[in-house]
Parts: sequence; structure tokens; C-alpha cells
Amino acid sequence: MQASNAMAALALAVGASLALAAGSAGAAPPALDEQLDGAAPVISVPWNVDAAGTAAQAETLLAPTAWAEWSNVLGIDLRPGGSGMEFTSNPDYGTFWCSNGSSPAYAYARMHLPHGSTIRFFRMWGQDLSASGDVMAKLRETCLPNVGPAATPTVTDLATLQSSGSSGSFTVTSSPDHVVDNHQCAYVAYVQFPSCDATTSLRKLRVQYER
Amino acid sequence: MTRTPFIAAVFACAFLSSASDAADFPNRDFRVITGVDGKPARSDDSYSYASGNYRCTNASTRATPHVVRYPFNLPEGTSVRYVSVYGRRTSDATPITLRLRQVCQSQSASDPTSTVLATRTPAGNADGYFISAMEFSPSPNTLDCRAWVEASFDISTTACDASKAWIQRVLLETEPSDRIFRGTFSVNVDYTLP
Repeated sequence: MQASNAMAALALAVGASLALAAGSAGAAPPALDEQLDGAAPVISVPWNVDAAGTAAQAETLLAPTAWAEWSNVLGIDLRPGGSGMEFTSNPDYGTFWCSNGSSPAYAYARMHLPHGSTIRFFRMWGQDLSASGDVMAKLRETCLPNVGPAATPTVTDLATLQSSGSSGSFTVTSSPDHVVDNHQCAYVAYVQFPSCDATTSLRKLRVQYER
Repeated sequence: MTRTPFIAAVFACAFLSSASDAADFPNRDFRVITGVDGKPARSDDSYSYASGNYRCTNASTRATPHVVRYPFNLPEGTSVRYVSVYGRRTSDATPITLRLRQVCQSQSASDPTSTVLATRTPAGNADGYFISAMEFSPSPNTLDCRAWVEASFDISTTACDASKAWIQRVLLETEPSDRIFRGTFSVNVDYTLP
């Protein structure tokens, strides 16, 4: 009887601990833009917003889940692709663009993603006022063997995003559905600007994942 | 009778421990961004590294300040949030302004919003070393927002001297909502800074 009571007390304590743990992410998780409230297993939300704030297209998305997480970087997180690339950034918004150098110009940002998580979405925000070129971003996986002789890294583009037109502010997204392997790989965002002037710039990148 | 020495020893240990141990903050998390992780705002913001510090080296004056930024996310669900900048600015060095800023843009917004959460101006002195603490007052929203702390070196009248003004580190201090599991669950923050 006493043993039974002890077990019950232990179970209660474990249950309380788990309840406490569930609250560690915050009392109420923030609303997910890409996983809006809805009971249906598949939902669609507008995504491509033009300069006037008009949603032009829709994407098919997964149902809401408590395990959605994300990692984001701003333009200021980018590193220039080479020392010959001159860059500048907006003082208020952290937007990044190439100011002088050879075209096309490119820059990188490291994306920190948990091992074993599944990448669901890769999204880019920026400005495209160029009639002759677009901003492109790739989510890139670079892998080397954990053991054995050094080898050429295996580079895989998991997703490619590209602006279109020249209307200004844009956002585009992709759903690569890829499992992160930090054991052998690293993840970077590769951003390419068609020209070195203020007509094309990067504001933000975000990877949304589940684990 | 035999318990007396034991109890006295326990109290003695407790006293000695509290007197000699470093300050203990059992419910605080600390993350550090070292000075050399700073990202200059423009390619003509020249800099150097020494002892983990970021040092402005623009030798000529100009109207545009030299700005170095340290972007970060704070864990969600935290109740106390401070961002402290450690640096140096001697009395005759380039004036420095520190700003804590948050930029937000949801996927349905065509343009981002930017908010300055705090501003500090370290006063110079002979040694020049300073710590400036700023409170991160809004609850972190890592889905749409990202923050940075920046040091703006005003080189409009006084050019930079690498021996007189630098940024040593940025300390992010937060209080998690629970003390047991901390960041084990989703807080949407990179623990591998920057």
C-alpha cells in the first residue's frame, strides 16, 4: 500500500514536471503566419505581397502543429561573397545590398538548424526595383564525411527562391521538406544580387522546421 | 551532544561558501557575443581585431558614422531580458552611441518596422572601460522579428583610434520561464551565436 502511494506520488511529480516543461516555450505560442489557425489538415494562405500590400498568390501549407520552429536572419547577417564586393545596409531596417563590385554579386548567411529537424519552409523578403534582374536565394547544404579522408564537399541546393518583376517589396517561399544532418553537413543561405546598386536588396530570410 | 560540532561545521561551510563563491544566478541564462563577431554596416567601415575586441580603424573623418552590429534573437517566454555592452572609450576617443533595435516583418507586410528600444552614450574617462545595460522590453517575437545592438562611432569630427575605442562583448541575459528544462523545448533562438 505504501509502495503504491509512493508510485502514485512519483507519477504525480513527473506529470507536474512535464506540465512545467510544456510551459517552457511560453504561455501561448505566437501565431504562425504559415500555419494559421484551422482544423483542416491542409490550408492555404496568401503569400506573395506586392508593394501595394496585395496578396497575389497562395500556397498550400501544413496544418497547425505545436512543434513548428524557425530560424531567421536579417540582411545584416550576410557576409559578402568576396573581399571585392562592397556593400552597405539600411541603418533602420538592416537591409543589405551590394554597392559596388562585379555582377552578379553574392553573399552568405549561416543558418542554424537543429539536427534531425525537418525543414518545411524557406522564405525570403526583399526589394526588387530592377527591370533587368532578380534577387535569388538558395538554401544550401554542404556535407563532408565525418570520418575518412577529406573529400570535396557535397553541395546540394535544397530550395531556390527568386523575386520577379520590379514592383519593389516582395516575399517568396518554398517548401523543401528535408531532414537536417548536422553530423556531416552545414547549412547556409546563398543570396545573389543581379547588380551592385540599390535596386535589389535583401531584408530577411527564414527557415521554418519541425522536430 | 555529538551533533553540536556537526551542526557548527554545516553552518561554517554555508558561511564560507556564501562568502567566497562567485555570484550565483540560478534562474538566469547568459549568452555572449564576442566583439569580433560584430558585423560592420558598410564595407568602408574599417576595423581590426585584438584580444577578441572589435576596433574601429577609420583614420579619416566623414559624415557617416562607423556602425558595427550584433544581431541576435532572445528566447521566447522569458520574463527578464537585458542586453549589456562591454567596451572601451577613453575621454579623447571617438564618441560612441549604443542602440538596441528590433526589426519586424511578417510575411503579409510589404515593409518592415523598426523600433529603437534603448539608447546609451557611454561617457569617456581615463581608462575608458564601460558596461552599458539596456532592457529588452517587448516580449520576443522570433517568428517575425530579429534584434540587434549596434555601436555607432561618430567619426564626423574625431577619427577612430584603435587603441581608444572598441567593443569587447555583448552579454544577453534572460530569465527562462522554468528552471528545470530551460531551452530544451522550443524557444526559437540560436544557442550557437552569432
